[in-house]
Amino acid sequence: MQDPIVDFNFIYEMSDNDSTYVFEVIELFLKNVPAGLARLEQTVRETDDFPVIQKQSHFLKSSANVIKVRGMFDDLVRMESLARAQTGKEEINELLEKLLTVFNEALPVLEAEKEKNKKLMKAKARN
Amino acid sequence: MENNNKKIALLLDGINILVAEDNVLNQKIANFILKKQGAEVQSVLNGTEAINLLLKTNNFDVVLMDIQMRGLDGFKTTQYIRKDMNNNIPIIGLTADLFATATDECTEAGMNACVCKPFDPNSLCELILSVIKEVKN
Repeated sequence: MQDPIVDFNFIYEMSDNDSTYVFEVIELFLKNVPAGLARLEQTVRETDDFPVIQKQSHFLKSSANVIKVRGMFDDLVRMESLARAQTGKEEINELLEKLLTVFNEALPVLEAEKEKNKKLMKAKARN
Repeated sequence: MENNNKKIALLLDGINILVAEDNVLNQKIANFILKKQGAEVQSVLNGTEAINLLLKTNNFDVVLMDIQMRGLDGFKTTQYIRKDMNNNIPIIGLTADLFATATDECTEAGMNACVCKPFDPNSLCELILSVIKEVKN
């Protein structure tokens, strides 16, 4: 059986299943990662600016290590490495497509987990 | 395990920590871990803000410094703190890099230690305590 597309273990374990905290982290992730991916996409598609690609993939990489969307961290590590070496634009393009596809697949899962924790948070506040 | 966590929480109680990190997600993780273990935490988003804060106050016991912040990065910020400000406050570099060279670069820049993100809460707190102790001695 394949692993789930999103692995939330780190934030649940770290927070001792604190629904408020998990909700806030997922919300931040959903605010920042799509915008970061959009900046990466624009840079990769419109330029050969390897230093910017390197910085942007590095920035996303640390978010991808908190909430683990399948393959995203490894693909960003690879992209950062290629960009640092100023080579492999074709592979960078392929990695970008993979990142965008997997993130779009993960979005409903992320939204659902956020909503689940929002409900738990409200229930906790009522009690 | 639970007893160990409680011991660390007591040890970090009252320690003032400056977190310089431009990724808000990582900033939130660091703040949560540190506050949960008793520390007072203030966060900034770049090296310039960190320097300005350190110029205003000497209340901090340790700085957690992301090495690849946008703008003034962690290396340049640390070099400024060490050379221009002549400040020996303990500085721990935060990196998302798995490269072995990251630690060497942190040391060369004047940092006391380096830790890989995402943090293991207990290891991070133990490192903070050991770095503070080392600098005091």
